[in-house]
Amino acid sequence: MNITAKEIDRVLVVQPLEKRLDAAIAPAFKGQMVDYINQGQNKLVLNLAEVEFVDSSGLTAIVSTLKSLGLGGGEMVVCGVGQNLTNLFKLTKLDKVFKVFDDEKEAVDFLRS
Amino acid sequence: MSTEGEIRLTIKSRLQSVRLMGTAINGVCLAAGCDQETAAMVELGVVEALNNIVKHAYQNQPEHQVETKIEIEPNRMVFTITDSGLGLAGWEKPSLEFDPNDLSSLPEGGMGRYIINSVMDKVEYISGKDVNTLSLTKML
Repeated sequence: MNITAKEIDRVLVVQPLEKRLDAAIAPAFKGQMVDYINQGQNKLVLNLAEVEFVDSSGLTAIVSTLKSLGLGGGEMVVCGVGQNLTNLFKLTKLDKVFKVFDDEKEAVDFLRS
Repeated sequence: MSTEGEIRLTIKSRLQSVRLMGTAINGVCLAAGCDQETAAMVELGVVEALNNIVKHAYQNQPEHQVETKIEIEPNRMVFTITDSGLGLAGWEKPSLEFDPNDLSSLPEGGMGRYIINSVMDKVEYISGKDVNTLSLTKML
């Protein structure tokens, strides 16, 4: 899948460049996130600004990443969340779980502090 | 003038094809007068159903067909999805209980059925000898 990753002060900013994070691509996305975690990354910003559609498979991959990081002492926050994903978070009550920031800089600053 | 009528779309049983159907569903919803947020939610509900059929009714075998009939009426849209795969149980809404402060309790499955039942106003499924029929109704 098409995804970028950059490190800013030991915070990894990951940005999928796919418009749809769905069942067709979720396994590849999850695999990539597992690789980052296995490489020792434990502070992660997931920038979803390019993503317009997320289904339950994509959402499960995001939740799984959050759990893996959090249970291992790390943290993941999210930014660039569009209205569709905001609505999905609310529908599944996961809006109470994710820390969501308006932009990447705010998200990175939070994890750096 | 509202848009009413019926359209049938057929895809192969591949997750990549479900994407195409999702895009089409979104367009039809907008043409029927839905706002963008409703169209996106309806697209999601239908995509979740199609994903289940591809993955579980057809066990990810890509050579089968899934037909979706979309009926647009003045006060509702009905999506009738038919397949000839395995009959599936469990289309009813599961509970999605978790403690937001306990990461280990977060769900990693079952959200698809929860989404379908939350988005749609009625979900009905009949598994027959040669064909399964899932009917999803969204009131407008």
